[in-house]
Parts: sequence; structure tokens; C-alpha cells
Amino acid sequence: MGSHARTEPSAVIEAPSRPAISGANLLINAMEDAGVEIVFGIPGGAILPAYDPLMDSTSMRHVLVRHEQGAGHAAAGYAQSTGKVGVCMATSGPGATNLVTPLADAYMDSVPVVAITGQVAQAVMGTQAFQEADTCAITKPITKRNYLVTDAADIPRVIADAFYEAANGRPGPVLVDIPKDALQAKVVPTPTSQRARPARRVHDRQLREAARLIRTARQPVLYVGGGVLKARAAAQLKTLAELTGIPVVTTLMARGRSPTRIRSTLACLACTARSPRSLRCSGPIC
Amino acid sequence: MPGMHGTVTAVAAMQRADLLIALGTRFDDRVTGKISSFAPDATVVHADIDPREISKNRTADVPLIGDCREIIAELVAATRIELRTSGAADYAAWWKRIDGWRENYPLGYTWPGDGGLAPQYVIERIGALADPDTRYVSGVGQHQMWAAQFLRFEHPGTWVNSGGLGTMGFAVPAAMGVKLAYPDTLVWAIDGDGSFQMTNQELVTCAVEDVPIKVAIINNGSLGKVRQWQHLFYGERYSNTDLDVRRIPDVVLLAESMGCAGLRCDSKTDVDAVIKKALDINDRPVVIDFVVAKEALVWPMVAAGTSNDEIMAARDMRPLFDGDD
Repeated sequence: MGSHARTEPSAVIEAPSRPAISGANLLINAMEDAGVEIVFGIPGGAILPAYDPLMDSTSMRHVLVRHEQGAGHAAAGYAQSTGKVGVCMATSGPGATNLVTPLADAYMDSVPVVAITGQVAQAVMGTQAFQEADTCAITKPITKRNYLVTDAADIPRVIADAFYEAANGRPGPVLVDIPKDALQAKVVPTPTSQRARPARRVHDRQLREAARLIRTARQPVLYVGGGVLKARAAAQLKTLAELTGIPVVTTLMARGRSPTRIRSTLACLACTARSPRSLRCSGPIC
Repeated sequence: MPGMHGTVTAVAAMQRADLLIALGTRFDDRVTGKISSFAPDATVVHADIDPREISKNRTADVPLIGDCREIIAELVAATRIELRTSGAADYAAWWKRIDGWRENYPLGYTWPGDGGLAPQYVIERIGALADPDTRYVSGVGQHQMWAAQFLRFEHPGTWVNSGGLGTMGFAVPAAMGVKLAYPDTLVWAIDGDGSFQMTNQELVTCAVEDVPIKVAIINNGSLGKVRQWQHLFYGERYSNTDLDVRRIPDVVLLAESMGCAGLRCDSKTDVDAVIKKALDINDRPVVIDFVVAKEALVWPMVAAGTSNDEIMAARDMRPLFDGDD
């Protein structure tokens, strides 16, 4: 055995009943467990180990884009329209830096995206190795959270966590950077655990105060943003607008939030331009 | 829609409001204009899931932190009780004022005089010839504002665009993502010629992966939104915003080379026919090159950094400045 044995992950020895599996396989399994249907990406050296088991996935379709920026925006388009987490994948260095613009875009618009990037092997990280960039440092201010996975056994837990982070609370982009050696290592995974959803309860006093303001206001406006779409609250908003008769203004990010015809007084201006007070109009005042 | 290119009614209503109930929104500078003069008389109720948004740009008088779906439902319940016990609210005079703004300053456009199509007309016709389930994606620029103004949206999630970062090149790849999520739904990318040239290679992906999106290029041969600022604020000195002196690239040939159908339209009488032709092609992506007027501007407009009170409904027309109140 000698010194070589000491470099092997100890879990292999301690838990012989669970089979060792590659970090790459753990990644693909974890993505399948997260319910991923489509991955947009481009392979390259550092991420190559992940692309091998990806080829055998029956539940995930990989779409080979022509530029990583396209992968990021495609994931965002998927996410914005479905409300589900969009997924993109790229290699280290230029692959990752090409994701910077779509990640910044998703961060600004609170779009749930998970980006998986390959990283050079840990043995050469920090040496300006071929196609090396400090992806976590670069993306820190433009992601909701990012992770560098140093131990393959952590991949399932981190991937589950990344999808939770992207979708819960205020949605946003999350990046998981995985060195090539972690993708190649064979390990027994650490178990994942479900995170309990934090309970939020709005204070009754504040709600009562808001209701009192609604009653006493003379010139109120409902100023509605993209968060109403992300919370799937269009029906609740319609009820509030109908109950109170308060005019609704929707921002650029909230266009389309109104699912039905509300009432003529809430007709949107674009339609008013063609037919004043049109009853066919479906939108907010403006 | 409020903001820099919002309707006069939306901007005026917010400026003159005595109560703003802000739901899942972040008082972005493109909405508020100069923040110190935004909705000066309004009490603010602000609901958001992210506590960092509360009082970030505008102090909230009543903060409500949590998921908008839950908060709005609870607000409905609280308001029902309030109205039942203390009497109904009366906004009749307010609506009369709003109706006045709507009648006096409807969203509209004039047909340009330089021979090109009116871009707003093209976008209106795309919307008119599409069913209500259609999903729209846009790039960033004038075409994005016109699409937000002149398309009708019937369902949540049917409008996808880059709002905060303003990323030119968003449309084609994002439309691919939308179409893969909803393969049986018509997906239109409304793009500009500047935006399109940043990411159009993903049409190759669409062609190869069988993702038949429709792309309408509102082609004014320039970086139109920047040009609009040069037109209004830089003495019509058009520094580096001209893209297309000799129709390069030829969008039709470019589209065909990428495995798409390429169409061109430069006359009003052909607009409907070309759109219908595009709708009939479903075995590959379609790109339409709409040759529109370079001179068309996005109105209304609040100039960056100025007060929303100075909104221009059109050139030199300031509804709130001119003593509407």
C-alpha cells in the first residue's frame, strides 16, 4: 500500500457497501435528480469528464450551442418563460468567461440559472495553467452564490444546494465550478439532505396599515414588477386590483403579468390608442 | 409601462400618486427617473422577497417582506376587512384624471418620411397576426421598447427580455431556450440589426437542433437607441452608430447560410404577406429583415437623469411640465 494508499479518499475504505462512483457521474445523477430537462453548453478540456456520462443520460437533452454566451441566454430564456431553473455548462477559462455576460444578465433580472463550469485540476490551479481563469472570483459579484467543489464526494450536495439557491427566495444565477480531478475521482458520495423552507410571515400590523392606506388614499397606484411574475402571483394581483379598483402599472419586466381581462378602467394604453376604453383590452392602464 | 419610455399615463399616475403599492419591484432608475423627484407625494408600501430591496432606492413607509403571492393574498384579506368595517375607498376623481391623460396622450406613432417602414407598425402586425399564446423575446434597443409598447401580452411569461443589464444579443439564444421549453408554441424574437449581429450564430444551433423560431429584425441600419440619444442630446452628431451603409451583412443570405429561411420586407403593403409566409414555414427557423426607417424614435421619453415630470410625449411636448396640474 505505502504512501499511494493515503492519497485515496478514506470514504472508499470506510463505507465499502456503497459503490465508488466518479465525480462526473455524480454530477450527471445530481442534475437528473434536480429535474433538469435541457442543458445548453459546449464541451472543452476541463469539463470533458462530465460530457461522457451526459451522453448516456436519458432524461436530459444537451443542446450544443455555438458560443457559451448563447448557452447562458438560452438557459435564461428557458427559465424566464417556465419559472424552472435553466442550466448551462461550459469548460474552464474562456468557456467560463464567455458566461459572464449572461450570468450578469440573469443576476440583474433575478432569473434562476445554474451554470456548471469545468476548472483545471487542483494540482495546477493558480499556476496560469492552460485555459485557467479564477471563475469563482470573476463571477462572485454577478451570481447569487457560487461554489468551487474541491472534493468529488461533495458534488451531489452542492448541486442540490445550487438548484435550491437558484430557485428559492429571490431567484438568481448560481455557478458551480468543478476541477477536472474532482470530476475524474471515484468516491462514495456524502449524503444530501433536503433544506427546510424558511417560513416567512408578514406582520399583521403592517398588513393592516397597508389596508388602511389603501382605503384612505385618493390617488393610489399599484406599481407591479417582475417579482409578481416570478412568484406566480398574477391571479392574486388581479383579485387585489378588482377588489380595490386601484390602477395598475406594470414595469418592463412585468409585461404579460395580467392573465385575463380585468376591466375597462384598467385597459392598457397601447390598446386605448386604437380603441378608447376598449373592453377587449387585457392589460393594465399602462 | 412606466419609466424612460413608459406611457405618459403610467408616468403621470406614479408622479401624482399619494400611495404607491410596490409589488416585487426595485425602483430601478429607468423607472423612477431622478429619484429625488420621483412620486414626491406618495406614501410607499413595498413588498419584496429580498429585504435588501426595501428602502434601497426609495424609503418604504410600510415594508412587507416575503413571497409576493402570499403577501398579496394576505393584503387582499386585510383590505376586505378594512373596506367592510370602515367603508369603501373612493378613487372616482383619480380615475377621471387618469382617463384625461389617456385620452390626451395615447401611445402612437407617425409614419416616417424617409421611405422606410414604421417599426411600430411592423411590430403591431406581428402581434396582430399571432395567437394569444405566442411568446415574444426581444433584444435590447429601440425595438425592445416598441415591442413592450405595441405588442399585447395575454399571459404571464409570454414576454422575455433583458431588462436590468440591457444585453444586446439576448434575443436569438433566449428565444431558442423559450422554444425548447414550449415546442408547440409560436416563438417570435423581435430583434434589432445591432443586437442580432452579436449572437446570430445561435441560429445555426436552432437549425441543427430543430428549434424553428421566428426572428423579426427591425433593421434601421444603425445602433438606433444610441443614435436616438445622439439625435436628441448630441446635436445630431452620429458618432459610430451607422451599421449598414451597403446592407452588410445581407441578412437574408446570412440566414439562408445558417440553415434558416431568409425573407425581406421593405414596403407597407407586403408586411402582412411576409409575416404570413414566415408563419407557414415550420421546418426551420425563419428570419425576416424588415427594412425600417432610420429616423423613427421611441416616444414617450424621460431623458436619463431628469425628473419624470419632464416626460416628453413627443418632441418638445412635456405634458406634466405644461401645467396639466
